[in-house]
Amino acid sequence: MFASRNARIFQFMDEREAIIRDVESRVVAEIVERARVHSDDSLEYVLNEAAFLEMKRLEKGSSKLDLRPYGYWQDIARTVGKADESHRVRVLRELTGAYARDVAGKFTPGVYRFATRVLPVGLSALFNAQSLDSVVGNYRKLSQRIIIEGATAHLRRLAEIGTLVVVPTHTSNLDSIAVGWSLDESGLPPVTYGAGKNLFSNPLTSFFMHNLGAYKVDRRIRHSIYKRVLKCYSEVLLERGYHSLFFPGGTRCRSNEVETKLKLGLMGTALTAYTNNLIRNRPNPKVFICPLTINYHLVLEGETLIGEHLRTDGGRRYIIEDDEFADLSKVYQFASKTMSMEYTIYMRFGEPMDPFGNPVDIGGISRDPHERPIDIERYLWVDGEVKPDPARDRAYTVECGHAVARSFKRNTVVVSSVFLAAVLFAALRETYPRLDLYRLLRVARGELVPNEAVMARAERLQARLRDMARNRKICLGHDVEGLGVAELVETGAKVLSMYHATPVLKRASNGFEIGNPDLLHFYANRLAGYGLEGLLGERLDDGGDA
Amino acid sequence: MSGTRQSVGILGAGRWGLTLAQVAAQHGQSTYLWSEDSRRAGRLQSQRKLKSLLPELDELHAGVTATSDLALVASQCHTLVIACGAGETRAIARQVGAVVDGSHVVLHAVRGLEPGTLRRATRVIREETCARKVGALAGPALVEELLAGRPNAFVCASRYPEVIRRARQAFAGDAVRVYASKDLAGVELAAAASAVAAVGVGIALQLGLGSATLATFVTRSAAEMARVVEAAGGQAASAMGLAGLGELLALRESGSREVEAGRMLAAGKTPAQITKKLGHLDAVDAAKTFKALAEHYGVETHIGAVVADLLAGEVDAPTAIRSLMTLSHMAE
Repeated sequence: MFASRNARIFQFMDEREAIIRDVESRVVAEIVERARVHSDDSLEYVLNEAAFLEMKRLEKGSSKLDLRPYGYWQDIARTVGKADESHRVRVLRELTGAYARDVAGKFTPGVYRFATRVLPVGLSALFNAQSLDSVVGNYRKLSQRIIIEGATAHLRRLAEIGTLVVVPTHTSNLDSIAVGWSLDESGLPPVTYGAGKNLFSNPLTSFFMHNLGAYKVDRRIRHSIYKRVLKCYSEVLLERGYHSLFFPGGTRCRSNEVETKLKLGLMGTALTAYTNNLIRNRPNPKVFICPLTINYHLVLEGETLIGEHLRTDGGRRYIIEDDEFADLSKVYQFASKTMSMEYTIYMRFGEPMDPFGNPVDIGGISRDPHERPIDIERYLWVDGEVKPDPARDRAYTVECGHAVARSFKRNTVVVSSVFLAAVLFAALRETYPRLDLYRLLRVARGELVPNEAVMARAERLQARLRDMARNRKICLGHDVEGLGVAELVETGAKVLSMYHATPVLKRASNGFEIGNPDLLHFYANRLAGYGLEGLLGERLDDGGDA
Repeated sequence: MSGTRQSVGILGAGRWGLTLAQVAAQHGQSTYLWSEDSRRAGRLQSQRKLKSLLPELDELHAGVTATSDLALVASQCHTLVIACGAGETRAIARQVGAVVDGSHVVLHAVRGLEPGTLRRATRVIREETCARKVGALAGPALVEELLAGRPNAFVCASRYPEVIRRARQAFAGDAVRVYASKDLAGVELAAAASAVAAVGVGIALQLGLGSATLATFVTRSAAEMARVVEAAGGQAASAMGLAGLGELLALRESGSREVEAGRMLAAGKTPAQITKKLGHLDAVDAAKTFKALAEHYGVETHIGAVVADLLAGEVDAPTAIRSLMTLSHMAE
């Protein structure tokens, strides 16, 4: 199935210059106006802040990705205090324009056609590592390997009457490739998205990113001018009807828990764009938020992510540049091993919502909890007119973020690897009840969890998960849903004993030998927050309310 | 249109609702007072008082229009304030859901959690309506003192600045201050808990305990509130603020119905006899729900649990006090 070719992104190159100019003029106007109203945000302060933060960053080392050298910022720091206001505005305009140009992506229809027609075949060949004679057959298999579920028909309709903002969960750099493929496979239009500038140095992906509408986000730059350019670029694209993708977790989830704390900066641009569309009386002003969960049996960068998570005690270092994704042989190894399994990835689209977090029906009408239609323009009324209000709109976006987090939870697909990891980790917890997490992870390496400690828990967990799935609190992979518990456990064990440098476990005749407790914790974490802890422990075998 | 909506609507014509309507009208707000009971609405509109329910009110302000037409109220009011018992909130919110749009501000002045579900009133409102701009009005303000025009204070909690602004527009004046808070959960939970603690204070007063004991009782109640509020997602500071400690002190000083209920319990009256004399008390439901909430979050609440047991008729007052005094010693 091929995506709609009348999507706005096919006109991107015709509009690119206008978009850059629009971003530049809006950001400059906004910063100048803010400086006029708030003395704390004077142009001198804003430019000095940028110079200070950039010099501090560049002192630690520069790279070819840097747009301006250390000396440029030094000059600004030296001169901006003495300069008159018109000079400051000129500097701001020059800087904003340069950033906007750097951020703006490209879209080459030829590359898109190539990517959507040839790449899946290439991926199949890569994933199966067989002769080219069988690639067509393998292509068919790819659609069995990536299973797309959920509200795709609904989204196809909404894409015709408004702008989609796809917001997926995020655990791997393969996510954007998987999303791109899944959108096309579902007949949904291509999306533009912000990708870390460091990813553009990866030879596998940079060519496609450069030409498929991805825009560059340099996460090392922390000053307010750059952040404003990024947000404004997103707003302008949405206002012009470019379907977009944001990872609301901000960065890959280190712990593998279903994301609940979402970064709302870019998501807020959906509401700003909708408001501006109404004020400017644009056709099809609506913006629809489309949650998507990406559910892997195995996560390519699992070892690096959980290592980082445990090192920072749940905190997040912003960028990891040297993980498994940067190593092509690792990607190949991951792909070929995981694709030999019957199922690998579930892409599940949740019900779409408006920027206020209300569900949206197939006609694009928002519905209240009793399915009554809502005139959402009225959320934006101030004295009977649509007006932006930053404090109010932030609160709306927080509510929308909560709705997205709830959707992630409901639409998470439990697969056999996660299932077994949760069972085994609970058994370990019970074996060492007095140990904190870090001690437990140290002593668990090489531990044998006997078969009898697994099966009773597995039966309880499968029954509970099926019950939760019936009540639409979670979704189940075909293995967890359909297999008998013994077969399910063996399937999970097979998956968890492959790919990773130190496999998660080794199946022994009398039990499961834990090879990598950190990774076991990583996969088990996917079921954290569902109230299953009591169920998995021996002492509370009737479980808590999920 | 929101632009032409100039009024405030008070939903619920009980003691609290009548008082809020009177205060809003006294502050120059065109005010609608909605009662589901059309006879009560009609009587209020024609006779301008309801002595059987609120003898302290001499005459309903001319700026108040009493009605049972909720659609009319929603069409005229930018702000709706639900003033009812915790157990009635969902039924009223469901009706509100049929008439509001996204521009409405929906506040509540409910002191309690929904019985059974333990849900805060703003969550109930969210589950029943499309309203986003919701908030809670709580604090030590008292019916008798508001009607007498004595200085009072509320706290209005909401994530939305407009909600705070509308609450101030409706109620703030020479004699009423409206403080702002962003801790919606904390304020709602603290308000629910303070009514329970007030029953405990009434018991202590009836038993003739000294000032030191009373002070201990009040501060330990506040500490308990803070623990539960924090465990349930609010900020402990809200329990020590107007909605928690502030309201508890006001209830204690005013000899409120909650304190009176505590006195009657200590005097050996049954919960049924108390309800018969004082009418429905939110504190009865609140005690049960607060105890359940504490258990849900694994927080120890000695005073709250004892009050809940007393109100449920499971222990008598002397036994309850003895059980509190024989607790093992603990850190403050």
